[in-house]
Amino acid sequence: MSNNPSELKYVASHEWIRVEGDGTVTVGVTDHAQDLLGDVVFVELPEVGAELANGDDAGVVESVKAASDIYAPISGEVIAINEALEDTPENVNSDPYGDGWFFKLKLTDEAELDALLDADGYATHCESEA
Amino acid sequence: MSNPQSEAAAIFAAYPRWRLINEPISVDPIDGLQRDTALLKEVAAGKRGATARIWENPQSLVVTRRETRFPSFKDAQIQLGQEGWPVLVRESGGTAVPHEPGIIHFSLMFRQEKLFQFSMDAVYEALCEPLQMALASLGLTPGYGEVKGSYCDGKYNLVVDGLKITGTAQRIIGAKKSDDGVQRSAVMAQSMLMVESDPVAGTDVVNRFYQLAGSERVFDPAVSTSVQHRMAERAADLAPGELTLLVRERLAEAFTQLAERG
Repeated sequence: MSNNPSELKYVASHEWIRVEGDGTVTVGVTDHAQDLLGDVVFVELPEVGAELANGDDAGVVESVKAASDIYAPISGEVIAINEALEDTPENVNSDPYGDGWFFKLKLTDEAELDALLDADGYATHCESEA
Repeated sequence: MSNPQSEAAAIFAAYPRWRLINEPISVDPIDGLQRDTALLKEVAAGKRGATARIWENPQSLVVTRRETRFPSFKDAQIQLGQEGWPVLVRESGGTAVPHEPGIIHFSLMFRQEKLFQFSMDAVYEALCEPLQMALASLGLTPGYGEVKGSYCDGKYNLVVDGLKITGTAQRIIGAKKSDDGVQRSAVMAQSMLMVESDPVAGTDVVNRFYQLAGSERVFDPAVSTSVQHRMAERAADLAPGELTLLVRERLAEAFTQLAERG
């Protein structure tokens, strides 16, 4: 689990959150999650403008093995989605922390950031699930 | 998480009270399909325990969300609807599949205490084990494998004599985080077993959908089969519908045996 970037935050549902410092965050799924899912063939993302509460369904990621929900790891308004995933869903596998990002949120309450896991906390969580 | 065979047994063992819902064929294919989704949501919410469902649907074509993005999806939906093949959208992945009398659907759904409590491979094996037992009781010897050219292909197809007889898919949904902060989930594994349906005609309608919807992909009608075809003369004396009824009975027996053993 040492490949989880230390500058990112995480949640137990295997999403990562990059705090951009301007009241917005970028969200994707972790390397561990993409490994469990297998080859991703389709990603359905929320609509820009959607208001998501922490834990809400935010889309679906379909791999060759299963279709799984994506959750909003934190509350906010969707301000951008990664439209490139429409044509290149495999980026979720090849570059989960980069080109495989899912969506950006404008935070509703920055205090929610305090509840997120750091890389070590997420690694511990993954070990507990193994 | 490295031994799917024992994990499949662990899935049956993890839920002491499995319930089998053995349904007659649905009147409306939308109802038949949506019932799976509704049951999964009940399982996720903790309102229902581990559940298996044996069901059949009237003639319809069931596609994935991805396929609704095809350039001419709406046109294909309208055209096939007019030809007696209403096009419905399911929650799990893969490709379009036909539903019709003579295709048995078997779905397995249960809540997981962690998001990926069981590996997806183990879930597929738990789904397929009762199907394999039912087929074996009729003298067939199914194995796992991809079948190049088949619709809804995957490594957890059941294959008899090199031909695809069962397609499978899986859907995982989240259960709301509980007060203790645990992220639970619910998983549904779905399968379709071709018993008395015509595998060639079934592939033809999937191909027609792809063509009408603007996709260039074409599936091979010669790589799928049915229980009826594999049993050949051994099933020749059965009246229409009898073989499907027999397979349903064998499947229910196999599932019950596994659930009780667990």
